[in-house]
Amino acid sequence: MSLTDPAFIKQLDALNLLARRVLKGSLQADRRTERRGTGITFADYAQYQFGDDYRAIDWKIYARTEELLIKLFEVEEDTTVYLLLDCSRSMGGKLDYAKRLAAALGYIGLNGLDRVVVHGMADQLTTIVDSVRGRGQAFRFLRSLEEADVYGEDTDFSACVRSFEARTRKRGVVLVVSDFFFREGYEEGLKLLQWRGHDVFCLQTMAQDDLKCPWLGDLEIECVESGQKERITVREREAKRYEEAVERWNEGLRTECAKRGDGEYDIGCSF
Amino acid sequence: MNWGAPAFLWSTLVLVPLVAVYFIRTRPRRQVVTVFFLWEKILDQKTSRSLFQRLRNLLSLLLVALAFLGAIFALARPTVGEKDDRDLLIVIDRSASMNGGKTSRIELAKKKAESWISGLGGTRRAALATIDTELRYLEHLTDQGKPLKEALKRVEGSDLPLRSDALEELSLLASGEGANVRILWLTDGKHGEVELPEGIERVLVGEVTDNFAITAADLRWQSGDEVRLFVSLASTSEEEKEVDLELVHPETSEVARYFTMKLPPGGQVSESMVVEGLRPGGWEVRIVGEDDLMADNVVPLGLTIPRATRVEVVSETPFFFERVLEAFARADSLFEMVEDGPEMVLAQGVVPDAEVSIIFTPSGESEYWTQVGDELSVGSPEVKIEDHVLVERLDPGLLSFAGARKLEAPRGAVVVLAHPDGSPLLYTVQKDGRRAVVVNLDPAKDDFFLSPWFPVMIHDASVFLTGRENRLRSVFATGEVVGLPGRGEVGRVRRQYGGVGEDLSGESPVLVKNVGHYEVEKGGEVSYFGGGLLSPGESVGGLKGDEGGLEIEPAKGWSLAGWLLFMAVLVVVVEEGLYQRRKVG
Repeated sequence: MSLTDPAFIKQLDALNLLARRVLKGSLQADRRTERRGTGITFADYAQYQFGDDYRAIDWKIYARTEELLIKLFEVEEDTTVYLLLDCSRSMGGKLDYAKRLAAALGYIGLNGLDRVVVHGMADQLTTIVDSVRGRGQAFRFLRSLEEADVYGEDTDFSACVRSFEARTRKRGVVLVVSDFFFREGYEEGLKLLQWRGHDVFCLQTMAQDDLKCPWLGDLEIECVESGQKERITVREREAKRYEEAVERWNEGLRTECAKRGDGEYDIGCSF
Repeated sequence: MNWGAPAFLWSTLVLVPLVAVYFIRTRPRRQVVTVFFLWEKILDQKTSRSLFQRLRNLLSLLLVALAFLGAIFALARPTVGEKDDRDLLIVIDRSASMNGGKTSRIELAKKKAESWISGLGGTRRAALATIDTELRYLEHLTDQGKPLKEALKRVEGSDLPLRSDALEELSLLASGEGANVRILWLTDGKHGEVELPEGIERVLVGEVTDNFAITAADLRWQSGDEVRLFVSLASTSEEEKEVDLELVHPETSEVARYFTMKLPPGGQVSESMVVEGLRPGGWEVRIVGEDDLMADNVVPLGLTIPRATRVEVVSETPFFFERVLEAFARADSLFEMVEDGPEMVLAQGVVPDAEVSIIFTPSGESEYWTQVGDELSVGSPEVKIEDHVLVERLDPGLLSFAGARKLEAPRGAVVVLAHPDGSPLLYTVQKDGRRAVVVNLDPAKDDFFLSPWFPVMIHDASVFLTGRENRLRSVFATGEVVGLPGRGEVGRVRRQYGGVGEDLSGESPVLVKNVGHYEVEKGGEVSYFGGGLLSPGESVGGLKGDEGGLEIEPAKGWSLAGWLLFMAVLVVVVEEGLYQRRKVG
């Protein structure tokens, strides 16, 4: 199904409504942040400090208690949603699912008047959608996303993150959509993203063949990214070891995310 | 090493495409993986994959090549040792003694023969035959093991003894011009005085343990209801033994006599005794107990009521005729003198009105002779028919035929003895269904009445005319041919033994092929006789000649080709198992 297909867009609309209900309708131009500023929504009181805007002093409280307290308001700002989409060759058939996932998240963001940027990741970072905002940009966003295809050789997540940081000045919500099967690991990349103050969410897409080893016997395995080859004999024992290794790898990702406070979600694919 | 079919060795060239096909076959499947680096980690943990895994396919190919070479060599029919391309004739002794032993010796011989046949492996031709009273081919020369083995299955022990003339036939085969055959004779060595002919390799099978055997027996009606039983025993035991015997009725198991005979070491003993109250029919004399060969422990016997020929004497001087008849009646119950309704008439000078007659001193005119003339001169007669039954026991040179007259025998008469001038002296004649033996002499002259030839002449003439022997023997040895006495058609011949009966062809003579009770109907009369082994050679015969060793043992068990083929199949199966394990895990 195409991303610009009316049926798919209809599904995205339904998803948007669902998201609004879940988030209690607060996405409309008022994404709440922990930062305090000059908004209109009262957040808290604080002791007056030198240099604070005296207009924010609550005189009624001063009259009652002779203490200078200022009112704090939530900052109302538009948030940038960064979608880092793994476009390496290992994504193969999973890329469609990954793109649909990115489309759904981006669509919700656009409807919340957030700025949405989509980058592709492989051996280097590419830009798939360059900063769109507002519902009117949804079609452009979807079409650009649909045109994205796999590229590059071996995925270098750290290099892509470094490249992403170099291009990005504003902090935002970073959604990494990938299988997270990076030869060099995912720890350094996630650490960099968190260090820059992004809200990081890892969305892992996996195919059934990634989790299980259905082949037995003499095989010549070939890396889908690098083209490396190796002759092996897979018996039940090797198949089990592989499944355990994949399980350990994914468990490591969950642990890393939990340690850094990042969100981590598994998205399964059934092919 | 010799090759039976070396042309098959060219098949080794097929190894070249085989290797190519093998490499194509063992090429691994290509599989694209997304998590290659994880596979690398797993493979790094396997330390054994290095050398063995690299050589595994080569080892596998080597196994397949070896299996293929094994199959080719098997087709080339290799043999080890000195090449012997003579055909084999495997002869199995199926005589009665081969049935003996804990495991019957015939079975041991069959196993041995089967082992040889398997060992040939198609490299040589072989034939299969059995021998007892005759040599019988079961399968002619072939290099195929299957028909030989099928024929081998049909081999069974017989009740017949081994005959030397059958062995002689074998030796002729071995010594024939251009004979290229090796004769292997599987036997237990119990063939008595039979000499082992040249050119036959004897192979002894089985072990022979102590054996007791009835080597002769007889059951003879004596007088009244008395029957005389005669038994002769032989033993191979080196110790003195007492052997219990019984005379029993086979159907009712009624024991008529139970007695013991003491056998000297390795010797034989005979005993005769009177038994009373026996019924006509079949009886068995048995050794009580078991020994090496059971077939010679039982001898079936037939007891037939003797029936005398009723004879009337018509003579002016009947005294000597009557004494002769009385003597035969006493000894053999052959004759019974009657004055009315005779079956045969013994006459002198006249032609009696009887169907069968013996006529001495012919005189006057008669249909049995013509032109009776003067008395002939005394002298030795001329023998016209040498082997005639009438002169079988006579010595014509000692007969003077005193008182013989010149006469002529009627047309159709068979002259056995004649005077030098041509006059018949002893002849048989048949007219209008009446038969007679004419003896042209006067027994009163030259004291012929007192001559020992007088009763012999009457006996032989009466046997000839009535067709009735004095008595059928109570038992015949297996392999013997029994001529049934009496005139008339043979009605029924039936053999019965161990509760099993069989009808034999109703022809005379009867061949006694098996141990058993024989019942014969001929001319309306029923006679009984037994068939027993009664062969000292089979029962207690020793070994003669060599000890049965073979100079060159034929291949036995599986042939080299068979083993090669088996190993090839085994290797292929193992390799296929390993291959499947590698290919599909």
